[in-house]
Amino acid sequence: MFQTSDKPRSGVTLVELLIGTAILAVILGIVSRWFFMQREYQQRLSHISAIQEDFRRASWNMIQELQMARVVIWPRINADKSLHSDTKVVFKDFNGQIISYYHVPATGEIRRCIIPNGPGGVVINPRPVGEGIASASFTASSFDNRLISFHLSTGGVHTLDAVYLLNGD
Amino acid sequence: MNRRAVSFVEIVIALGILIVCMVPVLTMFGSAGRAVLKSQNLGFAIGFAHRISQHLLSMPFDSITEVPLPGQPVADGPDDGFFNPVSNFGTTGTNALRITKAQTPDLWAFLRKYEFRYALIVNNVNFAAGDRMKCVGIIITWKEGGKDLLYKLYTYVPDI
Repeated sequence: MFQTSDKPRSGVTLVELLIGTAILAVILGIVSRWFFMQREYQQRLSHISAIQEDFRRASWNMIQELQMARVVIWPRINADKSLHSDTKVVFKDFNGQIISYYHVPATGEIRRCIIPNGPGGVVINPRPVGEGIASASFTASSFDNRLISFHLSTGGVHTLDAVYLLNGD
Repeated sequence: MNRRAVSFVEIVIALGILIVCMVPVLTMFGSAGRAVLKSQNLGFAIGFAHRISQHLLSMPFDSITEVPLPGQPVADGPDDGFFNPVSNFGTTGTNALRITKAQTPDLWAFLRKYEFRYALIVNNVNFAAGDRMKCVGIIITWKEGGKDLLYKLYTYVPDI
């Protein structure tokens, strides 16, 4: 009923197969965990990179116009000569127009508007100057109101910059 | 038919080769991440140096003095006219906020993590007789992945 063979067997035994599978499972477990951690890290870094890009765009837009402005109307330093901050900055541009940049926390935008120097309504630019900005502060710190420092931040990413008005009033 | 099966040793060798091949692919993620981080801190340092250069323009000419290396820390730094105090939403100086753990924790944590510092190298220069001008080298340093990194910007400040 039972036949024995003299041919040598050269296949994989069940034990070898199980050990191989176990090793593979352990390796795959380690590698996949590392892979997902790296992927999460990458996503976080891409997010930071996008925020920085938003900051650069907002800073560039504001600095270009502010450095050619004539005078900062708001914020102004306090009566005791200490610096003073606000979430908006109002200034008179080179052509005498009154312009404001202001932060809108609900949308995370910095907006630009023109304030009429007389009758008429405020004209808000259709496109925001900056997007994806959780908080923004503009600080006046010089006696002549020609220096505006600003601090933008979103989710632990920051930018600290400033602009000095080149033109006199 | 002479069928030859795979031995256990061959399986282990194959797995070893697989791991060796996967390591460089996975390390690519790490190096790409480091590049983004470097770009983030460099971007911050550029804005940082620009801020100092703009503040220098509003400072009294004679008060622009050298800040030698290794430089002044920004987090927990002294009142310097550049970064401390950083903001004030109140109407008197007592409300001014400085870059400390208690007053601006988020900004403090970021600056402290990378140990951002600044140094100033100040030289008097003359382009013509009677000129009073200073050439200021603004050096921003920070630490990243165990390395000391640096960004420098030169600016000229006239006495006007």
